[in-house]
Amino acid sequence: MKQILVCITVSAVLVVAGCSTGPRRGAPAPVVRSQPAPVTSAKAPLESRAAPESISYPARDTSGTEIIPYATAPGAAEITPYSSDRPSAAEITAAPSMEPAAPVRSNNTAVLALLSSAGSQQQGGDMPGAAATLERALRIEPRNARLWHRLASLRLEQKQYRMAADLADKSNSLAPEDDNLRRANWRLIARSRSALGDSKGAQQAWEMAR
Amino acid sequence: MPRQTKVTKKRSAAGKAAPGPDRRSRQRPPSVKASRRAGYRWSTRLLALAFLFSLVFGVYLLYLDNLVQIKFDGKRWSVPARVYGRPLDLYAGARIGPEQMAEELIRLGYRKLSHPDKQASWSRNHNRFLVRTRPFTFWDGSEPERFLDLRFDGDRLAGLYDAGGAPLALVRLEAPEVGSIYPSHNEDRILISKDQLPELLVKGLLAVEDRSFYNHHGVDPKAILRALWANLRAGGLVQGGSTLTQQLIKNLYLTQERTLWRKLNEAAMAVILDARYAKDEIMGAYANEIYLGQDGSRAIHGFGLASRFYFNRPLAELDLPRLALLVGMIRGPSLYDPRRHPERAKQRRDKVLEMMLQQGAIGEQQQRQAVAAPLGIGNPGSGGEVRYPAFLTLVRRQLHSDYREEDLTSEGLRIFTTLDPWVQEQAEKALSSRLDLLEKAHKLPAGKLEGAVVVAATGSGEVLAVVSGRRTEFSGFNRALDAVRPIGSLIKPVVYLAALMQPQRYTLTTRIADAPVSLKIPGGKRWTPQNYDRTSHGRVTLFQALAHSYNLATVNLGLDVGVEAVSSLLADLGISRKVEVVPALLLGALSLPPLEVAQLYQTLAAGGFHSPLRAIREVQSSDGNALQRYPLTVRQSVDQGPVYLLNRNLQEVVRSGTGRALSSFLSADLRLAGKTGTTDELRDSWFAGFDSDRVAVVWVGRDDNSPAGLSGSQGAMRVWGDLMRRLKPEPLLLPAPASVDNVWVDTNSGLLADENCANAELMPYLKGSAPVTASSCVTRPAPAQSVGDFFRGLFE
Repeated sequence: MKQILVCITVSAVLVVAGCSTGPRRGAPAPVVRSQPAPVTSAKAPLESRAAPESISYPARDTSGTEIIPYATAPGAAEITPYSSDRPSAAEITAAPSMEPAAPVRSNNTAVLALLSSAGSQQQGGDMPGAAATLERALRIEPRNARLWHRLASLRLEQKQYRMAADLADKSNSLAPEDDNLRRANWRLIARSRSALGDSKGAQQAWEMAR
Repeated sequence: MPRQTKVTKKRSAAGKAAPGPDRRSRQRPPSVKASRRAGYRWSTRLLALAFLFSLVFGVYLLYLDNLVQIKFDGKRWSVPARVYGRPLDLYAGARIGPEQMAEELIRLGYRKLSHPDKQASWSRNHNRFLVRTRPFTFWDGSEPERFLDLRFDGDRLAGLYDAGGAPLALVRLEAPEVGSIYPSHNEDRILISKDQLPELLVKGLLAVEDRSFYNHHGVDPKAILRALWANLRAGGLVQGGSTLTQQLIKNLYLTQERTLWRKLNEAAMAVILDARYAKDEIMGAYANEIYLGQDGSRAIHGFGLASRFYFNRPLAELDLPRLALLVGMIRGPSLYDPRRHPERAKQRRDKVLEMMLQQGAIGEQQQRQAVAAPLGIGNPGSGGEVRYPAFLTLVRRQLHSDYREEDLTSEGLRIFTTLDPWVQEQAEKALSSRLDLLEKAHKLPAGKLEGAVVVAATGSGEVLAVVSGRRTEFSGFNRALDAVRPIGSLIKPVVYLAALMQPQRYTLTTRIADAPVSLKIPGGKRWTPQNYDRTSHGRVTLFQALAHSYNLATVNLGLDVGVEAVSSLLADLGISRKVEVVPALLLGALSLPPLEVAQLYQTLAAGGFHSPLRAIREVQSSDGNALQRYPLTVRQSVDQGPVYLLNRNLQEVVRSGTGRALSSFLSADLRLAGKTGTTDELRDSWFAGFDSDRVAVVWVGRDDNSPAGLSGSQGAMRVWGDLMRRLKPEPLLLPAPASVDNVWVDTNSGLLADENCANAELMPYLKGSAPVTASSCVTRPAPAQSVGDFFRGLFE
């Protein structure tokens, strides 16, 4: 009985199938989607709120354009408590890329290797990559004051001034005796503060840097 | 194109059928005119009926066709986000012992061999490991397959080389998969593309489930007959005649009811599906859709996830016996569950192997070897199960502020978290084993104590472990996140910090009265707190009062400093909850879950630098693009100097105060810092503390909030000690900030002393707050602080 019914169904189906659009054998049926639907929405990450037009993901490359979380206003991008700080670019005088005054010292070859790759990432314009690499180094040596300083200078270059100043504070807290480093940190804090429009605070920081 | 021909034939037959009866009726002899007329009438009716029927039927089939296409074309395999733990960084000097290394490799599903000649395998010879890694794509680049030579020395990785003997600076092992964020309908899967299906798996499927898959048209009448015959002979249901296509239809579109109507629908849709899509597409869909087991409320779908779940390996790494087992389980995933019914599962697997042999899918020798092999199931708890539900809850909550639920459960995101599985396992073991011991030692009812643990990295705020109870495999009530309990004396450091922030009024050696207090409180009642030992200790220094957790001294100090100041300092330290500003706050009339306590102590441990506790580092889309990074942030929320003084005091708690029993777990040389907490009638037992890199909080109590029978040092502190001992902490070095002087003082008088005095101790003071009057024991005139003392004090 079962199979008879099945047979009837089969034939009937074939009739209908024949009448309609015809088989699409070999046509690409998107069972496995290689491209996901973009993660968009009102409740999307900060970056889409800041830049709703850029929903697709630009490939991370060396063009200097950062990936979405950073691609909006400079200094405004990662999920940080500081994203409201938008300095006017005019306030920034010379934005120094690195602080040669306080090179990182470490006996750890892993940390040194990470530093060097962070350096090349930074030069290639991959700031988020460089930051991630420096954070990785900090996981290995969380009390290396010069590493914290290195991350602070990267954030300064990214124009994330609040973050840069905070990281420099942290660096100072770990280096009560390293005067060179402390001066470099204070200079960095001074620059960040003046970029944030805090000229009095910047003045104080410059004094500390002396 | 045989289908096409058939279709045309069938259509022409149907076309001829219509005028058929008409012609026949005309040929009938006139003698039977009446009956002819009746017959004519009947056949017209029949014809109309048939027409109507085929119309309805045709429309229905069109509807089915539409349904099949819409669903199949638009089928989005909802792929839950996969969650990864932290990848292990390997480098010479890393604090990783050989035991941890072995556990990490097992967790990753690497096979231990005598010689690691395959990807994802390893060997061990005492302190030397050879490891062949899997390649892995991280958020910020890929790690290639490597052949590593690791040498351990004690609890350190002493050397890291490639197989050629060249030293390597740094290698990242792949990130361990720790779970997935599956949707509320509880379907979990790891998507595989059809070209990723191992050939033997396909052969096995064909041999067992659908021999003529590549030849039939969606249904296989021969198979149905064969099944019918087999079932008749056996007098029961022993064989099914459903094709893979039918099974897929059943899973995709239909309910599990067993009715004839559903069977018919299924067959019709199978034929439509087969006509419309290529066999390989159907096979690929089948492989991702098929149901293969249950993990609590989570349904295991597809071979990709099943391979992880049962063998803790990617599908591509499975050998013949394992593939055969998966094929066998299709028949009844719970019936043949290899963990619960290993015997039955093996019988079933061997049956599959036999069928594969009969069908010529494998050779005789292959079959013999496979039958001899064990089931090869990963250890319970080491498969692709959701192993750390408590941590995953935290991940989920943090993600929810940035992503929609459906994106998390369907877009195949890869989420790289801060979870350190090694720390997590130590914390789980410490809690469950210690609670057993505590119940025995204190003659408490068995199984009633509960607990929670949170461990975080001090400097970055990365959450390393979350334990929500004794039985970690259940995702029920998350005590670490949601058990909001009074924190008792854990608040005291905040009271003392508030005082120490006023150096002109308070130093660590300032004396305060540990004397009875009685306060009028709203409602006409009086609040008369007492010390734990119910005695007053007279005038004590801040240093002693905190070390011994004196309640009366603390209340007096707090009232002097102001409850308002204490509550606003709490906010600075990262407590966002609304705090009731009442005197009882000074003794911990503030309820917080362990996670928030960890946030509070993170800020203290980091010298006043607040970092929001984070469980996530990066989120990557399914095609490998970075979506988001959650960067390291710090913010100085309290001056470093006072926090330094406080932390010195917290070291004293462990050295000589309420935490001194920790010495039975950990060497005093580690100079760990911490604080005990106990609430009324011993309902809650707390301990929060830190070593050089990690801050950990433990709560022990009962779910019904009845007395647990343990003080902070009797309960939670033992769990903490057990945990820290397992983690092999580094000594806690507190660098003295520039604003602090270390000065010798006479502890009896609180006056300036020198190191020759009998009761002299080196105490830290904020600049300008050290005593100036010299004690009588000082022979020289009041000394300016010597440089040597200063530097000695730096790292005290």
